[in-house]
Amino acid sequence: MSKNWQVKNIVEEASDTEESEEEQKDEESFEDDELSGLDIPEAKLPILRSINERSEDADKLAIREELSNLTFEELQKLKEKIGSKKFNLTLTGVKKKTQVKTDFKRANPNRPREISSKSRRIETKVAIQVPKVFRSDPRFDNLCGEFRERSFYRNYDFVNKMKEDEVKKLKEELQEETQPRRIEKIKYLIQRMENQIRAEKKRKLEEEKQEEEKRITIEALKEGKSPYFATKWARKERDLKEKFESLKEDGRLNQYMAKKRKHNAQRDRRHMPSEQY
Amino acid sequence: MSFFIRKNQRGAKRNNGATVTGRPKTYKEKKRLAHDDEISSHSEGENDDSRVYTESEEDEETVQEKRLRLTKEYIQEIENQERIRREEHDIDKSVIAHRLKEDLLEQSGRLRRTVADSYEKVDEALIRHLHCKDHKQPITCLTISPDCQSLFTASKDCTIVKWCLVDFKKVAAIKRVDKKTSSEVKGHKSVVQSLSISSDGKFLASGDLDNQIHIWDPMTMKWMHTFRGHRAGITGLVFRRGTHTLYSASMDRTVKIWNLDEMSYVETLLGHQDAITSIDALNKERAITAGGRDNSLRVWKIPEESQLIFNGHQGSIDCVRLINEDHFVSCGDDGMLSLWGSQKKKPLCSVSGAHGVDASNNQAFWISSVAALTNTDLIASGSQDGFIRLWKCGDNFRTLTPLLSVPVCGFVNSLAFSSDGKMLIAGLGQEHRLGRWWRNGSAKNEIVIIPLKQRETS
Repeated sequence: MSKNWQVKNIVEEASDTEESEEEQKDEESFEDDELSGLDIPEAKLPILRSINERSEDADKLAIREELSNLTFEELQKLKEKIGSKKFNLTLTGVKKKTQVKTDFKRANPNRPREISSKSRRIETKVAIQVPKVFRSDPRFDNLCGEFRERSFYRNYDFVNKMKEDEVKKLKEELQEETQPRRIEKIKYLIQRMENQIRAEKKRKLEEEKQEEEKRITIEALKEGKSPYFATKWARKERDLKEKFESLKEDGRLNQYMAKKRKHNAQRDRRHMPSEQY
Repeated sequence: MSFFIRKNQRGAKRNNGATVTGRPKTYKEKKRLAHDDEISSHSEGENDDSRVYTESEEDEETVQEKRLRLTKEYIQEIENQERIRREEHDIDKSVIAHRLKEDLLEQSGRLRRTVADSYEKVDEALIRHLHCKDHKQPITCLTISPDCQSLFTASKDCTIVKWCLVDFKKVAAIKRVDKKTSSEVKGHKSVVQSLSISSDGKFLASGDLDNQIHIWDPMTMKWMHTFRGHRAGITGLVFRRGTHTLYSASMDRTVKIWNLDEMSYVETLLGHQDAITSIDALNKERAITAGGRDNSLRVWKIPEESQLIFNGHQGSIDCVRLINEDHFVSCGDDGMLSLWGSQKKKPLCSVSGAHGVDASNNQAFWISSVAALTNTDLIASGSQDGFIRLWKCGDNFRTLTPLLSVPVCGFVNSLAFSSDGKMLIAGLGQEHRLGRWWRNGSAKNEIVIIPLKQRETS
């Protein structure tokens, strides 16, 4: 339901072109902006706010009836909102026959151009041209292709090297920094970066293991055997073995085993019956 | 017989009733006299019954004849005056025709005089500077009351000050208002960019960047009304001369018309594509606005609800002033000063680099304000190059020739001629009125009153 109300001129009715009709609609209609923010409840002005295809006179009578139901205060508010010129026109219902010109023809092209001063349509020529920025999400854009994890990580591997350098720099900064807030920030950043580096290393190890498996499969196929599929338990066993090796090298094996034993003991204790009578 | 007698009697009464003054009577006065006489003769009539029937016909004739007689007297008086002035015995009709035309134009306010050449070089010692505590920041706009007795100025610190132009002292001030001040005290919360006073001196309108227009009584400087309706800051205000209609131009690209007799909003005019920078109007129901960067000046024909579009300037058009009903002058930040006629969409005459070139960035100095002495050929323009330049409009407004330069220090944010052409008042500042692109520390935020003296013609 559009909110335009039209006062049709004899001139309007006589004009043939669509363009001029549209212009006139804009000229003498209550636009959305005009009636927005008006304090009068909508129920009181249904006709004023609704479009109707009725004849001119019926329109005016209906509108005048509506207006007669409003209180003086509300009438004042309406007048302030739409302007006294339009308000007086609606009350008196005067038809502007000769006043409104529809075709503004100038005597020669050197004269200034003349247009209506009431149309709210924005002219096509804009003062300042700002280029429209089209943004696209690479996840959903067909032009970016499908995501390939391996190539992605290979391409952006340099970032991890940058991170390592930055961690070094931050540690140096931390030694020289005196402001507590800044120290907090740097510490947080260092922590974060180191976590990320560690995670990256872990991911790389995983990747290597997968590549190992693939390599085995390929070799087997070359020799004519069936491909090698690793089970979950096989993978777990392999991981444990590697961990065992690395701990042994570092010399932390005993510590690790002690912790593990304690943890398992705790878990087992849960299943023991409780000593309560 | 009675016809003649009545005529004579009427004649006698006419002689008593009609005032004989040195000044030739205007058409309106003559009409009024005839009407008055008619009434007086009616009231003093004795045999009313017998006269009633015949009087109506004879009245008309006598009124017409009376008019004829009065016009003949008027022309006779003009002839006598011209004879004395020119010291000739025979005056030909063209002289009288010319004189009649001049008088008519003067009445309707359309008489154009070429006075620019008669102005002498300004005596710098006579220039007055006005300061006050309320204007610590640059002056943004000013307006002179129509009787040239008071001056109203506004500045970036949201204050409006009234000055007396007789003893050049501050009379009253409207101070800045913020959240803490009570709602009873009225004032502006943000920079006041426009001021205007009505031609009868009854209303002073001020508009700020907070979308409000305050109406004040210029005599007492008391608040009268506030108009809210604009959606962005108000950059220009002007009263239509002879009326209480206010036209306001705003950065929301609309011009709004307000009726101060009823203190109501009348209508909105749409069309500009960029914030409107300036507005001006004379006696007609028309306004002209400058549209900033849309490079257009628009003349709004209000009763016909249409606009005329004039194109020109390359940068932003900052100020426009009407010289007379058909010609206007505009200035912009491209350093151009342009003269326009209402019949041509392009300027009649343009002066680029009117205030010289800025050595620091090789660009022409922005011309920030322009003023025109109504119905003459004198124009003043102000920029930041340290001079106020006076220009003369050539024949048919087709040329602009520089006339005088008055040295001033600072940004000339506002210029105005007094209506009698004896003073040029400039509002200066350390910064441009619209922003702080530059700051001239050696300048002062003051009002400068330049007395203009005309060479006495022999």
